[in-house]
Amino acid sequence: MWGLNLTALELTAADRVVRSEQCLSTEVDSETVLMSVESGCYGGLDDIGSDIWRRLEKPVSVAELCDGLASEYEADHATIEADVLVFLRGLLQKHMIEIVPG
Amino acid sequence: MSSSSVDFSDFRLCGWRVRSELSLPEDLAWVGPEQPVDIDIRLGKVPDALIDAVQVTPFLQVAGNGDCRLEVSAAGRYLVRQGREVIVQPAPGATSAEVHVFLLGTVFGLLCHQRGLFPLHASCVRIGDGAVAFCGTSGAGKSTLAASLVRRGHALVSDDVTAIDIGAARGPLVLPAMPRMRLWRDALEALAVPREVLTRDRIELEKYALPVSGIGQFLAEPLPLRAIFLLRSEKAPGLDGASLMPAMEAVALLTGQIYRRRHAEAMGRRSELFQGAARIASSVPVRRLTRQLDLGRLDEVAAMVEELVGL
Repeated sequence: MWGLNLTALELTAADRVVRSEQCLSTEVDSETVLMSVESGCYGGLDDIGSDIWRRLEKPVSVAELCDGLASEYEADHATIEADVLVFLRGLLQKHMIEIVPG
Repeated sequence: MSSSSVDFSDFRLCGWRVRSELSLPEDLAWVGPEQPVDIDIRLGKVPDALIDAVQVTPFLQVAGNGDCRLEVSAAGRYLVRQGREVIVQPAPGATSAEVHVFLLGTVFGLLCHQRGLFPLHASCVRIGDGAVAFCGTSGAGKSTLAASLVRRGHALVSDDVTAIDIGAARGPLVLPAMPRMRLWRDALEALAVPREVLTRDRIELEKYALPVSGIGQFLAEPLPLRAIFLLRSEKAPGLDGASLMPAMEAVALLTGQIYRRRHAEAMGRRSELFQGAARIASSVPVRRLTRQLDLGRLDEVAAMVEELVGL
């Protein structure tokens, strides 16, 4: 379906990311539903995923994103960063977010 | 058509007042109060092609402003503009039935899209004080189950296409479209409706247009949408069942069941329809209903639907 996206694997905390314009999103109850316009594929996000998705409306660095989450969720920063990177790489591979150049 | 027709008259579709130079089935005659005309259907010349248009299918062009041109060799050409105007140029020798099939099918769907509605490929019945819609692939039994519910005393709201107003303040509303039922022939026999009541709808399909007065009452008032069922037929015997779909699957299902979806996407409605599907999925339960391919057990499935809807 999607080819292996090397940029996704290379994502680091220093990168800035934003929602992809070709990804439609909407909330149903407490879930966020995503749809890729290009592929027609769907995705669903739970509460925390939906919270992160809300924070991706404007370009944000992965580090800033993790800082914001660390202030609200009870987990250490390293754990949050590791989880967030896995989550974001998944979204990148599905072209639902993109890396902002520069 | 078996029903007689009236020229230059007013008709109703989804509560719209439709003024038509082309005769439409008499059962669509406008009987409502005096109100401005919403849609004009006229006979005229349809151009060979639209300017600045995308060819969506071999039959359909969509222009940048959302205007649509449909051409079917046996029936004719249709130009659908801004949700307000339809120009029909019948093909030489086309019968009124042939012209109507596309006017009341694809053209109706295009009008729904141009007017901002969410047309779902579904049959719909009033159960209690709300509307219940049934989706599914061809042959899954949408119309058949709807007819079975009508026979149990519920009113038919829409057949084949259920037009949903997603912008209504108190949640999605179903706008009843046209009082016809399209049923597979074997299903009709199970319902024991006399065959001579029917007129053939489209030659290549074993389906018939059945005036609803034959088996029940048709409803014209908008109704709140209460539930949606996705039908799936199983040949193997086993228990029938209905499970609630997770939000993501419900949105994917509803988006996939939009009537004339490719046409709507070419009109630039993709995002709007996705939001609409989400609005519907957050307003009403969407269930997958598995039933056995056994027409003798239709009543049991209908009773299960009544129970799930909370009748």
